[in-house]
Amino acid sequence: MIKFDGVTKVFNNTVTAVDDLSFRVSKGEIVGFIGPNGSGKTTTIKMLTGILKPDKGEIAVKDFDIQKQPLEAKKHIGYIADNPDMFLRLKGVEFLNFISDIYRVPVDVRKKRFTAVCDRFGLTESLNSQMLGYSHGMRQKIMVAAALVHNPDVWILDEPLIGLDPKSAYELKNMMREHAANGNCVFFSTHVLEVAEKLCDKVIIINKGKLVYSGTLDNLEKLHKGKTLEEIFLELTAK
Amino acid sequence: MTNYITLLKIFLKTTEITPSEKKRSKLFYSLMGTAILMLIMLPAGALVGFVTYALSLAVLDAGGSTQAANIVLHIIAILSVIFGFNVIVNIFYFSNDIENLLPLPLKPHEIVGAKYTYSLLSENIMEFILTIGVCAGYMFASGFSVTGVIGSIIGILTVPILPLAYCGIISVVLMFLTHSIKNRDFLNKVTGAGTALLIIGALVALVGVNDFNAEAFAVSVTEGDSTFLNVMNIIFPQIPLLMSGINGSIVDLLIYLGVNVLALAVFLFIASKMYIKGVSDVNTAKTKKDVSDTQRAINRSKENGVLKSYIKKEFLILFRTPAFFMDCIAVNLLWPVFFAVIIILQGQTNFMSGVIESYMNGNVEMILFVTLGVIGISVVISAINSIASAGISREGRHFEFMMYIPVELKTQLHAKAIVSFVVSGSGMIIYIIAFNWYCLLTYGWVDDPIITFLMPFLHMLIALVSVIFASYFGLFMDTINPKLVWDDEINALRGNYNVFINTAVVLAAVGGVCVISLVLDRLINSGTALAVAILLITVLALMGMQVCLKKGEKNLMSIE
Repeated sequence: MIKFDGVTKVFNNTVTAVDDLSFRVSKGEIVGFIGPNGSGKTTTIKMLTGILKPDKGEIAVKDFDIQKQPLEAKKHIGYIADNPDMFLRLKGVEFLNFISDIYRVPVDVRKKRFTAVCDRFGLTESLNSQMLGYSHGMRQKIMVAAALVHNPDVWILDEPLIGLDPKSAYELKNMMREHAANGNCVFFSTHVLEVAEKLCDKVIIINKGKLVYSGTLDNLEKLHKGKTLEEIFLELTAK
Repeated sequence: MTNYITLLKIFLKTTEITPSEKKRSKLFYSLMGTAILMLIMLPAGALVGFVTYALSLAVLDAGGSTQAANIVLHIIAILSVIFGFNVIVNIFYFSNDIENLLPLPLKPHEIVGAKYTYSLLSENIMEFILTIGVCAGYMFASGFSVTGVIGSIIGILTVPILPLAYCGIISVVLMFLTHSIKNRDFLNKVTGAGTALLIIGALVALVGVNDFNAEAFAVSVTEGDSTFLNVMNIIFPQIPLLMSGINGSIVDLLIYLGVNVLALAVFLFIASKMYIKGVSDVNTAKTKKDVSDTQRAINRSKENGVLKSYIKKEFLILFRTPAFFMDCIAVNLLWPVFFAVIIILQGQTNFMSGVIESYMNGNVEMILFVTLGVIGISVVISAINSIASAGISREGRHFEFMMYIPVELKTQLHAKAIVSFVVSGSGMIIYIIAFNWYCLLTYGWVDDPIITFLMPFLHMLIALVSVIFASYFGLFMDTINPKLVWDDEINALRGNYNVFINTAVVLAAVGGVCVISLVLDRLINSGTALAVAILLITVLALMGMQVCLKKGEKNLMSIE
């Protein structure tokens, strides 16, 4: 579903944010993307979603090259950015309709999905008011709803659990599992190792833009016997 | 005091060009700065100076002194309050830095004082220029003196203090008194509606004035019969004091300075007592929740095309964001006031009646001048409202949204340009209808269908073509170097050099069209000049579209 081949991104010809990074994400997988601050996670996600252009390498989503067939590739992506403060003057329902129009979601389908996500996230009270009055968590929930409104094959989330209350975080994790179980894939960045441990089929760890590990957490723990996940992460990203 | 200065320095830094925005060279900014000064600021200052000079001559002849200059400065002060209020409310209460400032060990008057000074310095360049015009206009009429020059310099630097202090006091008191209203959008709507009403009120008042006569005006203000001047002298007492100081009274100049200091002291005292309460409530305020309507709203959902949906989104944000509404939408309401002032000041026996008579008689040269006027006004209106020239900058931090949605950038650019086209174009159509109606009222019906039907229709088309040029070209200018980092929405527009640069560039382009047409008018004939003017603006519009959609798209894709 996601193909990232030898991708490099250099800013201002001086800072190498992502350095020859390659990985794959397959159908049905939940993949955690882990790395310390400034390791290149957000830059990677921005290239994957078409926001930034890679200087080298190829990126494909559902076999559509994000550079050569950007619109086709983007149609298959549902993306939640790290900052949910977007179009706050729109009402929740207006924002969802706008996104549905962009992804050409039929009206009967969108109505069912709006109602379902409202019930699940407890948004029923607020959907018809401007998002300006929403809390950070509520805005994040609307972004989740918007990202899923077209049932994307590839769901990409940048630090999705920040600001969510325990119930909503639990719901979001369940939704990620369900989405992957329905034959799609989920790729998300996180700092919370426990979340990755409980949720992910696979983790990709990067440090200073380079891949340091890609595989299952079980395998990672086997490679570093006797150490906690936290210790392994610190060791891998210490250099 | 140290905290105040530190805060002020930080606030002023936000208006500087960030390293990522330094794509253009220093030479480019220098050239554009000069162009802005030459094409926008100096003409505006010169116009105000000329009006002051002409009115002052009449008043001095009638035995008066500074009354005409007082009136012009009062009008500038009123405009300063109208536009400053929105800026002050946004910067004091709705900017993103509030949540970071409140937990710091800062006194309320330090925060408010620094924000006030920042607003004063960053928002009033135009007011400084206009005040220079007034002082120069008055001194040209009355004669230059050393005290006059010193007083003028003091006045130019300090005249905006009191109007902005009023804005500060009103906003602090309003936010304090309305702290129980847990709906900040209500406050935003009240602010926007109040300002729109003020502008419309000014227009209605001006329309009620018939047959302005300079001599009658001079006698009226000299004898103290002008209600406007008398009321304004009470509201802005510093203005007659300043002008009296410029006229030679050092005592009045000192009292003038004292009034400003007093106004600042009162404002800071009120702010120290009321600011924290008001701002805390803003930060806890929530918009109204509407449980019962949610399901109905979902059921009302309907499918729209991408372009239509994108345009709708742009309109909703423009109309619902107070800063955008004021600077992009409400500003268009000022033009009728401006035109009404020109028409009223000219009266039926002066310049305008001559223009109208010649136009209604089918004089081709006058038709050319009016057409050039239509082109110029259309472009200026589209550029000044900044809908297009800040179209990308307004996206701010969520500019990335434009990049990751599966919608071509060309479509998104079209949507933004169409919004500018609709607002500016509909305004122009209304103004052209109003102009033709005014011509019919003042001159009477003419049986020439070219004048009564064809020319208004043609002028509407030309206006729309001109608006297309300004909209697409303005949007293109903003794609080169959009201001995407801003703390509050007002900063996306007022602190955005692209708006000024675009205005200067499109004015230069239209100036070129006018010069070529006027040369042809002299060398060949008015008909040929008219045809060439229409052809040139059409070519500019097509080029503007092409440049915006092709190069603009490339510019957006290169933003990192």
